[in-house]
Amino acid sequence: MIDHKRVNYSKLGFFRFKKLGEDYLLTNDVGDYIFLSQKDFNGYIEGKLEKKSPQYEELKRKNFIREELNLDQYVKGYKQKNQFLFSTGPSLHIIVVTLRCDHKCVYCQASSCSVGDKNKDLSEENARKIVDYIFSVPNNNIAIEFQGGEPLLNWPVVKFIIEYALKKNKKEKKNLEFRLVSNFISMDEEKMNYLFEKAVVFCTSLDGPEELHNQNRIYIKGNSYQITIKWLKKLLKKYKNYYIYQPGALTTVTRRSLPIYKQIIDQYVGLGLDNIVLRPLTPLGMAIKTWQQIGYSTSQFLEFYKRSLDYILELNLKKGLRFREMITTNMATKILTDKDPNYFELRSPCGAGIGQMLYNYNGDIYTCDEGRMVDEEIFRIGNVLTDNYNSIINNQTIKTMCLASCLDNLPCDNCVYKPYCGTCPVVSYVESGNIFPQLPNNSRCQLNKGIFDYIFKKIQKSDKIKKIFTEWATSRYQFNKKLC
Amino acid sequence: MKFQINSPKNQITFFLDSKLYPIEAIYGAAYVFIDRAYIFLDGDPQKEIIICLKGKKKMNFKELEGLQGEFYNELLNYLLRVKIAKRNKKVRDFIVGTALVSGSNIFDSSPDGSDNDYLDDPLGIAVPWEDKYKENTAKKKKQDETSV
Repeated sequence: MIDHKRVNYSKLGFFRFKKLGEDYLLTNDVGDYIFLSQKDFNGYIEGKLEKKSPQYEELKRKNFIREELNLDQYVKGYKQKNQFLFSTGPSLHIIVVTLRCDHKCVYCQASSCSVGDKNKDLSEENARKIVDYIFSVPNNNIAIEFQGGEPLLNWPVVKFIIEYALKKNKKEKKNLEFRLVSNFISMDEEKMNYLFEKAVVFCTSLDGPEELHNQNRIYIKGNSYQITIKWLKKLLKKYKNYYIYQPGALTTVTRRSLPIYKQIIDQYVGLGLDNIVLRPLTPLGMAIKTWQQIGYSTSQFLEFYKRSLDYILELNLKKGLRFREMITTNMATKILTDKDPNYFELRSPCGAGIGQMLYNYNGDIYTCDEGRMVDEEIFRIGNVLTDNYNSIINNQTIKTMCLASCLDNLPCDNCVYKPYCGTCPVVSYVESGNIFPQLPNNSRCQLNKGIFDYIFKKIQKSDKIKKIFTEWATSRYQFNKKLC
Repeated sequence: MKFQINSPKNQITFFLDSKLYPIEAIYGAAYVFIDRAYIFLDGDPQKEIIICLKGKKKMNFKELEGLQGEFYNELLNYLLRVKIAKRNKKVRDFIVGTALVSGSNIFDSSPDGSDNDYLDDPLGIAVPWEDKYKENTAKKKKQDETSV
């Protein structure tokens, strides 16, 4: 209990706090943190901590003591932690080359249509305009991500975009990177070799063991699981020793996944993957309709996450495996390093429009990947056929998205996890009809808080686990360069 | 502490002295409860604020009383938060302002190729007059003394 009559405000630098277990967790604007016992917390806020005590030393070093504030260090820390604010326009450009898909996934968020509906393909002419538009963005870093539907179903246009972008880049000399999100059904040797030559980064969906994967990812003409595994293995073998960025996979967690977390993780480890993303379901697209069958509460997901993380940590600690969970890794990077992973959903403001843009098959531009998944057109910000970058970036929707996801404007500003967190206006809109999140009813808020609580408890309890998290966090700053 | 519990309506009403608790702290504390209760605020911001918490799920007398206790605890936390934020507002504005102004060249070198930091002072503009001319003044004083 805080005795306000005894608080010595003149000694206190700015901090946020919450009681976590028996101790208080304090954080500041640059993401530094400290745990204090009740006694030390009282000593700190009353200005009575012994100056020679290790707690005072740490508080001083981390700029929690007002009179000992190192302004230069603080300013540099703030810039470093918010470096995404200084980027010159979006760097991630997602192109939906077709809405056609050969799968009927139970949680599909992408409004996919049947394979025969070729009206939903991006034309070469529009693709050229999209690439021209992307190169008009002043950011020197460009990642073009192919999505769908299933992008390989419109292979000629995928190839065209790669060739055209590479040609343009001979003059522009930007840091250009390609990514492909595919289910591999339409993959063949020729395509694989071409994409390998162009250093395309692969990502696929692998939901777990065969039965679970095929229940979630329905492919009528064959066995989705076996095709995914076949190509994932081939790609892993091919990319190994050539590229730092290895092909990756995402698991979308459905209700059926919850009890079999060990099998899911074991499968990823067995394939030689070095990470897993335990991605919760998002209530968008098809997932809204199927939620009764495949959905779960936030607390159920958190229970799944905790068990999974414990198991992964056990594999790291007892078996010496170097295998990491990526949501944890992104959060740990924010907590334990002076860097920011620029993960769009965990930054303030979020990446909508200023970090990423999405181009639909018809040239429509959306603020982000999630923005196109909403039935209404409220997150559409223009079209490459009629708008230029200057008009798009000054669009009111982008400004509003920034405002709605800037945590300083929200009650989040009081939360101890504010320096590490973010909010998604699209998810808030879908959940409550308002892009400004209504905390603490917001599911993302509950989820992030639950995960942060667990990570901090782990860090607090064990230096070994803190070391593992630090390793996960610091090994991510690599680039997709050829090793040989 | 005055409070009224209305069990059939599943709600508790209590009263806060506005001189003890700033309205920002009351708003902050109230916000924490919106997942568990409907919040009704009333009264006079200059004198007394009336808080009414109506449980979203059915609560018994003890649970409603507990809700009030939790509210008071949260209020104390928010009181600290509000005061710390107010006290540190200027220095935080300065930090963010300096970071943003100097941030555009955070990872770039200056046009002449050097890696000058925004805190660097190659022309000595930030050096106080007294420090800058201390040596010269001392020398001159010595010379004057010798000549005399």
